[in-house]
Amino acid sequence: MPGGGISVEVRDNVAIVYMDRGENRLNLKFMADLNSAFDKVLSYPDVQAMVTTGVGKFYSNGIQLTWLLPAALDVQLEFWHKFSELQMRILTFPIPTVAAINGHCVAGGGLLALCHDYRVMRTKQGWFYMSEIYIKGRFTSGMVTLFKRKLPSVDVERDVLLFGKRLSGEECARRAVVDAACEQEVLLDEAVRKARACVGTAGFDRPMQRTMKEDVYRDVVEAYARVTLTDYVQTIRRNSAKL
Amino acid sequence: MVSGKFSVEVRGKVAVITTDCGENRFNMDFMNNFNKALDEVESNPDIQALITTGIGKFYSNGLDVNWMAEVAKKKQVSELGKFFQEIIKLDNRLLTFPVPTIAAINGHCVAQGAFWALHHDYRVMRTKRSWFSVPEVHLNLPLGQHNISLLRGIVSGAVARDAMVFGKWYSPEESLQAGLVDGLAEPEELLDSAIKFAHQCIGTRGFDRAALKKMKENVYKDVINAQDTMVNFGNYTKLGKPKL
Repeated sequence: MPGGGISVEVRDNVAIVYMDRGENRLNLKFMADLNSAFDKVLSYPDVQAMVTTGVGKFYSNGIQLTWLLPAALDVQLEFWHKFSELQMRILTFPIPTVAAINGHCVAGGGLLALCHDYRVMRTKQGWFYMSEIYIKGRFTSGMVTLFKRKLPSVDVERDVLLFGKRLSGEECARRAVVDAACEQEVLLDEAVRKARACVGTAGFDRPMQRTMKEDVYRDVVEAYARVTLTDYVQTIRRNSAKL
Repeated sequence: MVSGKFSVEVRGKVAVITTDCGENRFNMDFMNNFNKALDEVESNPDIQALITTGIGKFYSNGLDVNWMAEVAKKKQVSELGKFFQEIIKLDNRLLTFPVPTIAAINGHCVAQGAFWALHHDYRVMRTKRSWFSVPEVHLNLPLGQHNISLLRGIVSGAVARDAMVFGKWYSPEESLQAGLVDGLAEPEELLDSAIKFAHQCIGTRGFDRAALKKMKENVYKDVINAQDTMVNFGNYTKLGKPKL
């Protein structure tokens, strides 16, 4: 059960990572704690899949900009480096991953959710959107490659990325941004069910699963690796000075 | 006719290559015979479409891992390297074949067999009692960038995920729904259905062979140019049972 902060619960062969820090905004500490939770998940040999979820109104409202934008250059560089690593870690995780989107899933939070294998989202409350167009945020070529792989079609890319459209859980399911939408009360059960259906009776050899994801998503992994983060951060710093 | 187990039959404007080799697994012999059959089809100017099919329970069950294990046992590792190169060459030959190609999937269509079918322009599959899958992840086998980018061009990202990352097994009906095949037919009507597909594609005039080949080379450029890393044969030969 969640008890503030980031915690791990194991239900037979599925591990659940709870993010219980309000808006679950991304900063260096949040990501370090999330990585520790992932380490803990993988330390259980019987765990065959992972579900991540928030507690309350937010899956994740994105990067903690109030901290990041005024920070020194080297801190910003470290953040973007670690954030890229985290995304790629989720994308190539050695067990199937399901994001149980319990609430608002915005910008950086959307990126994390898209890195998962599956997404299920609650209905009736909570928005999925990429706010970058509104805050002069820039997508790296790594992120664009991820979007092209994970968003289902060109019209969804247009609406979500170019026009920052806010999608409800119902709309996300209808447009296949998520794999299913359901009531909040059954969201976690649905995510666990999806994880178990994926795993089947035998589960997957962990190194092979990781290798397969690295191969199938090679273009994304390589695009992320090619991004010159120093250039990117300088651009963001210039843009945010104008905000 | 090419050999007892491979046959080339001409039905009007359509050629049918039938492979009758049990599981129709890929080894050097199988591919040499296929290339000869393709030569025969290409050299006949009246043919405007090609259908490939198998006999019995298998369209193709993939690579001949027993043969590969034998080759490895004889320490002919360079043979295996050449084998993988020849697979890509044959795949690319089919992908850019100068007439429309239809795979009439008469049975199980698995791994390399599935990718072989996917290199055709169209796929028609028999209903009931056959599986379509690329289960390499369950066998600790990697997928090359060539095949990954081929499948990406045909199905959605979600199906690519389910099929490749998680090695899902698709029934004929699921294959159609996922876009892995273009049509289904009862087993007895499979070949006729494939021939109908072929005629629909050809239309009244057919295609200029050189133009069609060039167009396929351009449209599938990313697949043809995909860079693959060195293959670790051990993963494959571990699966095979070489004859003692």
